[in-house]
Amino acid sequence: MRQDDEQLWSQWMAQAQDGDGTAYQRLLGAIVPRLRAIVGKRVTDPDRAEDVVQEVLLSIHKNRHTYDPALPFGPWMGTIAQRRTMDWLRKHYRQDGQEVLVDEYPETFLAGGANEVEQDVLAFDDVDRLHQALDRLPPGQRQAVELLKLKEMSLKEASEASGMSVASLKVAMHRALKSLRAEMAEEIEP
Amino acid sequence: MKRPAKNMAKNMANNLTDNLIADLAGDLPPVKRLAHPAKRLAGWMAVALPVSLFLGAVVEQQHVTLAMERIRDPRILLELTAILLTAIAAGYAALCSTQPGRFSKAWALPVAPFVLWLSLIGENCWRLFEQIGADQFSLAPHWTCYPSIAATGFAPALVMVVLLKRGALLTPTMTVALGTLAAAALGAVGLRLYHPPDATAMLMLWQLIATLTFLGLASLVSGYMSKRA
Repeated sequence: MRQDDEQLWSQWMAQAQDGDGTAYQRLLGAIVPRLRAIVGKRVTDPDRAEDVVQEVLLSIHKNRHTYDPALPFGPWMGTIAQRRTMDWLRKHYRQDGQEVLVDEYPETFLAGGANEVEQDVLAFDDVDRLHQALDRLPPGQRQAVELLKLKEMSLKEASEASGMSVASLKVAMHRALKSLRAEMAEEIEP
Repeated sequence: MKRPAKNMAKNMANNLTDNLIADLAGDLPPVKRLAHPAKRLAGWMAVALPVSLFLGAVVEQQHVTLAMERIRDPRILLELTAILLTAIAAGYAALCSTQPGRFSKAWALPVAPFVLWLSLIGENCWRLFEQIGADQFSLAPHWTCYPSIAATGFAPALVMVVLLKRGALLTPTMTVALGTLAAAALGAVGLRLYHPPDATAMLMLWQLIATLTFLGLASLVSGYMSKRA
């Protein structure tokens, strides 16, 4: 069963390399459970694990030209997933080393639901804060948000305007949204 | 109260993954597949070696007949074989490391030829030490060697960076280390053929430093160019 899966995945990836978006969507959807299993072995927090799975998907997308259809698909995908998971763990441990754990937050918002998960979505309505958060993004990510979301350009138009490839724009946009979401959530949570 | 919030967060994360997949698959452009590492290695040698030899001869102001004469010496021939094998093995390993799932143990390939090369350099140093004595023997850098090192190392480093950047840099430290060794070794071929025969450990160290400099500069140029492409 697993070998059949891998043959099918290999075939879909070869088609995706030729520009077949339908085969690619099928492939990415089919490999997500396997990626979750690989990532989940090292990252036990499900939310964080899903973040890493998304990073792996971006990495697979960015490096899809390196897959050789003559070779099995599993080791190619597994290597990328393992490397990206290790990268995430290294980054995570570095960040954790600089954070201070406290028993109680020094201050909090009065409203009871202020720290609920859905509040970070509402925070996007605060234009001033959003602009400040945008200013703190790396230039490539900021440009992607400005062109695709603020100026509402298509990917092709934004690619022509910025000189970035469509794939790079997609990756930059995804990372920018993640950074913005995290930053706006940080501003709500003390 | 906690469980619904957790489930909602999980659903949001899963939705983000689904959206990401849809985004990535939409307007999917075809890509040019990365060639087999052996083919890329052959391209690297075909471009970088002649340029390195030519620039080495120009800077050293030597004629190709000197190189032909040196090749007849079995000792130099053995050294050149070790150097060339190091370049080929390290280059192949570096290129394999940028293609996930391909020959993960390739990093071990250059170990044997590199050890042989180092031992031949060590033996050269020892012979020189015995000939001229401790008073004359110096490990100080020879600045006059630097132009030759730069001339022979430039093309192998530049072409290697371009090739490595085409692949997936999942293990950058290992890839850069192998690429540096490959570029330094290929540059050493021209150096051994045209430079006066004082290939000490210090000369090799300077060559590695020069190659690292080239790799850094070439990486900046290549990064700028790929951004513009």
